[in-house]
Parts: sequence; C-alpha cells; structure tokens
Amino acid sequence: MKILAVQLLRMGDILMTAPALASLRLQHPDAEIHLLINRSCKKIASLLEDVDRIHFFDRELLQKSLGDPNQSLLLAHDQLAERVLEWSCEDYDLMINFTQNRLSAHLCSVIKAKQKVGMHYSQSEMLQFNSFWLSQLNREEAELADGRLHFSDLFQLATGTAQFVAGRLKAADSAATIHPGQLVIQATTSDPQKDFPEQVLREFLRQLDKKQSGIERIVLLGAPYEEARLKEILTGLEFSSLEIALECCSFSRAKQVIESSALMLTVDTSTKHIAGFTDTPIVELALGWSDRFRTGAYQDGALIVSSPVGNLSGESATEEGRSAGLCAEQLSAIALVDIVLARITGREIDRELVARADLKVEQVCFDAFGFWCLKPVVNSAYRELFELQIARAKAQMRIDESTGFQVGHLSFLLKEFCAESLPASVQLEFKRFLASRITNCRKEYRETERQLLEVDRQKLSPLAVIGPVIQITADRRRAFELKASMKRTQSELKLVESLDQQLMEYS
Amino acid sequence: QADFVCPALSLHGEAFRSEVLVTESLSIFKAQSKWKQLLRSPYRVLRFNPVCSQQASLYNAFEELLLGRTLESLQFQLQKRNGLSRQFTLDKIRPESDAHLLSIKDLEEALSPGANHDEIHLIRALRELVV
Repeated sequence: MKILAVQLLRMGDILMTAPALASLRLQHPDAEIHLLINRSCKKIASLLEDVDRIHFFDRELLQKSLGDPNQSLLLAHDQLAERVLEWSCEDYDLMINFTQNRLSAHLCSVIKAKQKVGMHYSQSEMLQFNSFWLSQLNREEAELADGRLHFSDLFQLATGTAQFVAGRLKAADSAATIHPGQLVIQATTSDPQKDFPEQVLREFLRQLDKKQSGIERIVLLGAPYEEARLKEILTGLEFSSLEIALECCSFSRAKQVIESSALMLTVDTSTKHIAGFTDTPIVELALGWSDRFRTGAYQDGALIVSSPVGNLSGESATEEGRSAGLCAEQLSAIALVDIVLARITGREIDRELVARADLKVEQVCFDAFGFWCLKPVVNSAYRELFELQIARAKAQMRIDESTGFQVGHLSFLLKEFCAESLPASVQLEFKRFLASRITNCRKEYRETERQLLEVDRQKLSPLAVIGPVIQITADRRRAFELKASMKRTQSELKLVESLDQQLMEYS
Repeated sequence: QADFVCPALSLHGEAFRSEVLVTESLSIFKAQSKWKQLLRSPYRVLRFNPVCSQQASLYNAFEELLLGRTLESLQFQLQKRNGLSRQFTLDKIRPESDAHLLSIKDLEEALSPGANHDEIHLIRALRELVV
C-alpha cells in the first residue's frame, strides 16, 4: 500500500501532522508513507520518523517562473505538470490532504490516487472531503470560538483511527544529558506579534537572575539568521548568577538543546512543536494570533500562558490589543518567572500574583479518550470552566449540524454535559458521542442554538433554556444513563458498543 | 533556411550539448517542426548577447515567441501543443494594452468551458501562487 500525506503549510503544521503519520503507520504497518511539503520546510521534515519518502512542492520556483517576464508563461505550467505526473506515477492507494487551502485542493485534484481524503475536487468539479473531520477544518476556524479540536487530534481522526497515538521524531544518535539548571527560551517567531516582547524578556532575565532560583544557564534558541537580533536583545545586560548562551542552529540541534534542558519557555513557533515530542516540560506564551486551542503545545502537563489582552485570536481580545499588538508589552515578567519556577520545581503557582498580572494559565492534558484539552490553572473559577464547557458543547453542535442530529439528543446530552456532577471524562465521552452519532437536525436545533447564545449573553443557567426542547424517549434515556455511568473497563466498553449499536438502530 | 546546430557539442562533448537554431526569418522560425518536441518540455530562454545584439529586433521577435507572454506568441505556443490548445479559448483574453504581458491570471480566464479536469486545476493551483 502507498499513502501520500499532503501538508503544504508551514513547519509547525508539518510537526502537528506527525501524530497522524504515526497513526497511519499503526493502521497500515506495511504501507509506504510519502509526504508532500513545501521545499522551504525540507529541514524540519527530515526529523519525522513515520515517513518513507518526502516530495517537495517548489512553491518559490514556480512563483519565480510565473512572475518573471523573461521566462516562458508556460514554464511553471510545464514544471508543475511534470511533478504532478511523477507523483501520480507513484500510484497511491490513499492520499490525505491535511492542508485546508485552495492550492492544495487543486493539487490534490490532479494527483492520481485510488482514494482521496481531505479537500479536493471530484471529476464532476464538486468540492469533496471524504472525511467528516477535515470537512470541519475551515468551518471551525471561521465560525467557532474556542471549542475546537487541536489540529493534531483532528488530523489523527481524519486518518480514520479509533485510537490516538503519539507522533514520533527521529531519535538522536546519543541520549541527551539533562542539565537541571538550564532553561531554554525560544523568544522569536516569523510573526512579530507572536514574539516574546524584547523588554519583557530582558526584565524576565533580570528577575530570574535576582531570584537565585537554581537556574544557572539560559539558552536562547533561534534560527541562524536571528543571531544578530538575539545578541542585540542581550546588549547591556549583566547578570550575577546567570550564564547566557545563544544557539542559532538547525532543528536537530535545537531538539538536542531542548532535551538537555530542565524546561523550555517558548512562544508559538515550530521549535515549540519539537519540544512537544520531548520530555522537557514546556511553558508556552500564546501571544498575538497564536491560537492555543488549535496549535497549543502538544505535551501532557505543558502550561500555556495567555492574556485576555495579549491574545489576538481568541475570545477576549480587546480592540486595542487587536489594533496595536501592544498587549504583549504589558506581560508581567515577575509573574512569568513565578510560573516558570513553579513548573520546574513542581510547586503551586502564586495564583494571586498571576491573576493580578491578568494572565491566564492553562494546563494541557489528554482525556481518557486521548483528546487534547486545556485545564484552567489560574482563573479557574467555576464560571470560566462552565463557559468553556458551554462553548465546547456549542462547537460540537455546530460540527454535528452538517450531518444533522436530532434535537432531543442534543438537548439531553447538553444538559448532561453541563451537569456539575458528571466527571470530566464522562462529559468528554458525550462530546465524542455527539460527534459520532449523528442523524438529523432541524429547525429546533437552530432555536436551541439561538437560546444558547442568549444564555451566553445573559449568563443564565442553560438548563432553564434547554428544558422545554428535551424530547427523548424512555429507552433512549436509559441507554444514555447507562452510557454516562460506564467505567472504562473492557466489558463495559463492549456494553457501550452494543448500546451504540442499539442507538443506531433506534435512530 | 533554418538549422539546429550545436556548437558546443563538437568542442566540449555531450555534457555541454545545447541546440541553437540558426535562421534568417521569423516565418521559417515559426514553421520549424522541431518546436513541437522542444516546446513540450520545460525550457528557459537564454540570451547570447554577442550574437543577439547583431540582430536585436529579429532576436526580440524570436524571444517573444518562446516566452509566450503576448497573445500572438501564446497562440503560437499552443498551436505547437495540440493537447493544450483545446483547453484554452484565447479570444477571452483582452489585453489592457499592446505592452500588456500575459500572466497566469489571463490563462485562467482563457480556460475553455470544456477544458479537462486536470488542466483546470493545474492552472488554478498556479493561480493560487500569485494571489
């Protein structure tokens, strides 16, 4: 079997595709897995474990040919046609387009494969996905606020897996020696709005130096072309106990440095995703357009620090923040030092200090079903958690809308979902159930959604609103109640399967 | 007369082979049957200044034909590639001026209603690169 995975976005996106590649490997152990990426991402792709061959899309070359009046107009056409023919000659059994843009859709329409999954056009020029999950990718971005699935989870689900697996990078020749006093910092990205603000970074280093916290060495990571900029940040700084080193290096070297450090403090960039494959604890700063719900550090226990003002992508970005990006400058270096030291030592974060600095801290966890989740650490008041649950339920409902779901099910499940007494794992089971058991959705659903929006606005209890639209038979209720009380044992899982079957038949 | 010659072949061997068309007129140049094969594979247009500067206007006309960035030269190129000519309706292209150089955007607009699936999406993929 031959599989082509297409990922034509940036390096971070390729790394977020790694779990899906591992999942494909697990599902098809004898398959030859090929990956199509932009040539500019060549360096990062060589780190991936579950890829047998990499093909490159020469975006820059084609763009140059197209834009150069001294080149034949048909040169780029012929170059691309030649490459497409090469890829098609591989005779792929399966092609999965993990990129959700028009370029990749057109490309995947012309590359031959027996089965195509992800955005492409059929021979009859219909836009097709052949995957419930990938069909939601753009829609979620456009319409959903914060109840979205992490890209790595979504990509894995698109492979048709029933079980999540971890992505893998190629192992280094020798194991790294961990330096307990070493903190590695990735402060820069390709997007200035996501960067660690220079003055905050300088203040952070000063505060860390003052604390005499056991951190002896700071390694500032960067790409080779960023060396001058990083040196400039350090100009004029003097430390009594800290040693500062610059590592403007390759990705494989960056991985070694991360593995040898006690913790990585990072902004949202590709090295953060590399750190996700290591055991080195991560503290992520989600700044600018960073969308922590989709691209947050994919590592159990990682802390994600964001600011209601500082994050431009999310639910609570202010107008000032959106327009000027000045929010990041207001980050409290003292609070950041506390978060980093708490993560290293395992002590509690000074919640008051962090809350006063208007920072939100969330911890990454994987639920019983393997879904990436964020758990509030600071500002974890019931109201916030509750709002998050409502938002996720709404998100899931929107996902269901395309294929439809009976409103009785939705209302009942949502009611259960929001019940405080239910453990998180059961709530998540419901979410999963919502996504996978879908039949029909009509006018009532829209009414429910409208009411839910009203709930958000007025901060009312959702139960009062949902109550009138619950239409569920006794049999269904019994089935759902059994499901809600299930324990994750083998026999009970079988019971759930049979219940699912019954529910399918019932529907 | 028109001949394809390879001055480098005899001097430097096969590794340096590059064919040069020696001709006196544009009509002979256009009529060359060998274009059919040459134009089907990706090529670049090079200018060998010592020779080209001698007959600059003639050379410019040759170059334009090979670049296919004007309506006439694109038509010439498509004529030599029968499979491709059916995919486009060049009448749809309305150059803004004589100096207007055609781009992938013009090619996309010129796609025939009956163009085949692969050609449509190949052109549209390229069009995405210049958005």
